[in-house]
Amino acid sequence: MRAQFGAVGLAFLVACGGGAATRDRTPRSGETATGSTVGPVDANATAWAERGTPERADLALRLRRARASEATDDAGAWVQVAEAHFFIGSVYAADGTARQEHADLAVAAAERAMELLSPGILEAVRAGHRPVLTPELVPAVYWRIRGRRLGATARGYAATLLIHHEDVASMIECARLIASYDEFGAFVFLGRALSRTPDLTTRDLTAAAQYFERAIGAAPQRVAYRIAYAEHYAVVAGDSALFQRELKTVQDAQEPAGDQTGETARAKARATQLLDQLNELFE
Amino acid sequence: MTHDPLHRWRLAVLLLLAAACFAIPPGREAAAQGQLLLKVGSTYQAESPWGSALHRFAAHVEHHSQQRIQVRLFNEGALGTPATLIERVIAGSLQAYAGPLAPLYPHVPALRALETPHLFPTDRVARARLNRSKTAIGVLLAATNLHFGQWQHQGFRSSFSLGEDDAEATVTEAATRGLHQQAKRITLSRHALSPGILVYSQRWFSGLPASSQEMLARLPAESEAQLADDVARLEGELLGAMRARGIEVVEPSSTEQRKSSVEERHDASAFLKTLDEPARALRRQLAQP
Repeated sequence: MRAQFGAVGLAFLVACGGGAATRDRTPRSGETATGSTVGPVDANATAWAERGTPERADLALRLRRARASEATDDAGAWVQVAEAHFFIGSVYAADGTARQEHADLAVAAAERAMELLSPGILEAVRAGHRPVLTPELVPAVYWRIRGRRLGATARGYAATLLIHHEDVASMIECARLIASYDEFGAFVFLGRALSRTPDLTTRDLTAAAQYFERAIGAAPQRVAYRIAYAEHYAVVAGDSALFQRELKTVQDAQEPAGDQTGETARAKARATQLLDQLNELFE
Repeated sequence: MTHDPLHRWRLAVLLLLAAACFAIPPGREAAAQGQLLLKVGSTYQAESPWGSALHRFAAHVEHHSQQRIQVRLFNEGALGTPATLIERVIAGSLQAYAGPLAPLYPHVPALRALETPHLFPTDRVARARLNRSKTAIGVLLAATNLHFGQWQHQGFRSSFSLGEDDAEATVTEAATRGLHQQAKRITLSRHALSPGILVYSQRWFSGLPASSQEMLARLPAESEAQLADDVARLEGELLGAMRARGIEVVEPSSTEQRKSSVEERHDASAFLKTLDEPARALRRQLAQP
């Protein structure tokens, strides 16, 4: 009650003495980058290596599409198109509609690559059969799964539920065949998918942690992996120490000299954002 | 005596402030002294209809408590398994649980009555009868240091033919468990409710000011209805996608339902034998038209 009288007193002072000041006072108002760089230094590779801005990423996509259109039977070129659409959709898409469009185009490009490598495979997949994967098919299948997941997230919960189990099973097969594809992105996908399963009974936090650890151990320079580990595993596992350790490692990471992919900068920004929510997430 | 309009304005503001000072209700006065934390441990995914419903719940509670109650949602089992969450709520170390009702059965066995086959003819009837029985269910929960909060509609279970085997699940459960990848046929028997619930820790609830208790006891009915609509929409989307995958979706006609009524009665009576007396009493209450 004393505080209330205090407030009245303050109001009294303001009303009596501070009127002019009060009248004159102006009111105050108060990602997930993935993708390997291609080998030879050409316009395509250079543009991709400089995808740290939306304009450069768009240029990289256009160059990749042009190359795929010229060599229509080159599965590798279509895989690169899928990768570029996925990247732009997940990092730069302005809204859910744009994200969904890029995700659909990523899936279409990946499916084209799959069909070039193994004619008839899509028909079998759509009929509900799980195809026998070969190492050559892995990049195309990998980007198809990533694109499907991105598109499903934009479409809603039903879409996510319908693809979850099928994509996790295919990604486990991808990880088994070529663990190093996309610098161990398959492991990160699985770590994330097993941490946050739609059905809690299929959650496997032990396996999820192992997948994340393998990805980080194999490619410690990919700070985005640490972000995923903290955001998707540590939060669900309630491991505040791990959460802080991984995010602080990201914050302290040196940006690789000459890196224009923007990955480290995006990861650092995300690390700061997540650390700001520490108390809320682990209260 | 001054006739300065500004002076009169100051005087009016002062009088209003003084009046407001004495008119502040006890709840607001307490609000100035500190906030209350309502941590909700949930098994639902944040982007699911239930996650959205909890988000609306949090916004409602914070707004109507004048921000005195601060709600923190921990979805996807981030605070533990359903069994752990419930034990923590009973012990009072967690303020609320939101998720399926089944993990509560070891503590409140009578609640199994809600899953009696063919107890509710339609979704609307189920919701009306559950709301009518809130008091009785509240008494059962209170005996285990829990306080009823809100129903979390999850739909009805149906039969999924998986080739040689059959499974029972709601359409959403089937998709989350991946049953749609093996299912040949779905018979939308919708024969048993799959209830979900939001319960508070009795210890936490009884320590709230009366105004907050009243606010939590009078959560808007529209919220439950909206969740039921969202779940129906989700089931429609999932069934459409399942049909597109070539799964046969059978909606039993009323004649077919009548034909199978003998079998259904048998199912129900077999289930009833597994219930204890408090559960049977609750079932009788829920069965009343």
